[in-house]
Amino acid sequence: MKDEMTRYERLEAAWNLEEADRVPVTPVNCYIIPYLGGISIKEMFTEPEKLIQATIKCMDIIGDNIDPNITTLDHLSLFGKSGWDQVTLDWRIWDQFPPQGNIPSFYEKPIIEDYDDVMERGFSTILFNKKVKEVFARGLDDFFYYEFEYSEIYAKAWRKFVEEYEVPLLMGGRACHPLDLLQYYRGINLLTEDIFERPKKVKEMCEFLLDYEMNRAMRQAMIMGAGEVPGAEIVFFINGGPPGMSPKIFDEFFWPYAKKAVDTFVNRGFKVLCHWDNDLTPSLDTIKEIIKGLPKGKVMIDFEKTDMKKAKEVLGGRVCIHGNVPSSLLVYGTPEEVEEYSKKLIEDCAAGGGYILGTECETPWDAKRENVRAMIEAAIKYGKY
Amino acid sequence: MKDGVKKILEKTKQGLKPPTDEEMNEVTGKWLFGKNANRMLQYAPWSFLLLKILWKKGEEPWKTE
Repeated sequence: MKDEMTRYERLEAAWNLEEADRVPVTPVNCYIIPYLGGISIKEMFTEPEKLIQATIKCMDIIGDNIDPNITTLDHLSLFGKSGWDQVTLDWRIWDQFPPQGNIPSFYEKPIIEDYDDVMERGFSTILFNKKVKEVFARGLDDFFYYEFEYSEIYAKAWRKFVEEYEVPLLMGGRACHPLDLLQYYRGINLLTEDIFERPKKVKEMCEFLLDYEMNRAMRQAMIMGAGEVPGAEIVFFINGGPPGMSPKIFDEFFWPYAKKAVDTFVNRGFKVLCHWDNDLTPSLDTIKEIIKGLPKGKVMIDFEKTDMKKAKEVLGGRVCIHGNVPSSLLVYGTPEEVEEYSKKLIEDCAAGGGYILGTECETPWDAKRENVRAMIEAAIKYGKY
Repeated sequence: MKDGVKKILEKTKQGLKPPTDEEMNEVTGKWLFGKNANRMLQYAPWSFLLLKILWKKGEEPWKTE
């Protein structure tokens, strides 16, 4: 049996496709923390100290890292950031959890009407247009504070938590795949139509969006303490674009920009956690090229619905994989069922290293606490190397 | 912080090549002002006056309703 490692060393071993002391376990705990910690969603977003206190109350369900909820910074900015900002997109921050309120959910409405116009005049005409009433409801003080000052305050709070509790961050910066952004800016139906009727424009727009998105995420990671705070060097690179993409659409519209972004992050010294939702099993042969030309230990793929056994077969020895205890099981199942499912994932994926036991997209806010705990205990019980 | 963690962080820090202010200005300028980005950046801070040319008639943000 190997000596017990620190959380960060354990994760580092998995990134490097090596066997750690045991399989790391990292449920992506986002809204469940304020829910169980007794604070509102608005407090979660605007009062980092309260979020930290809520996190401390939930240490029993924290695995080998903690999600610092970088979406907070994206949400409150006035420049568009990573698809979550309140200005160009309708992701409402509610005061309360359901049934009185809701967790931030996307209310689809087309923001971009004309791709050429945006590429010609930029997003300023969308951000500062009177049609977007949110901008005019917020004052200049608010703009300066949330755009330029709040991120420093937020980062400082998390740095203190990491130093005190020795729990690494899940990420330091966050970027969306441009196809994912277009899904937000156009809506799923219109984007699907565009892919077939205006494919050239979709590709031009993906190129247009990529540079800003990548640089902004790396800057965010630096503010969070990349190179000084464990985990802050990781860029969380999100999503698989419209659900149900065929391998042909994946290869043509998703993959080139995904690979370009991953290459850029890694070549600039950051790690990339590809958080790719949907079932990407049919595209695994393409995905296996993700590390082409890159050094080992810099890329991880966090799968939502993809078949993990198959993913291990195709990607094992190439790239670390993360996933995917079903959300439904965490909400409606029993601890015994969660333990059994986690055990099976470990049996299928852990051999030789390069596997992290995780949730699907994230831990649902209303998951049973004992179920998340059962997942962590399963890694300790069955994951020893 | 344990020595093993410090070592990993030191190695990471040495390899980081984050975007410079110049790069950030360039990509943000392009994102915000599209093909007008170079002119906007060239004439900053006076470029805010140039914002006006970016809007089409009828959608000016400063127009009172």
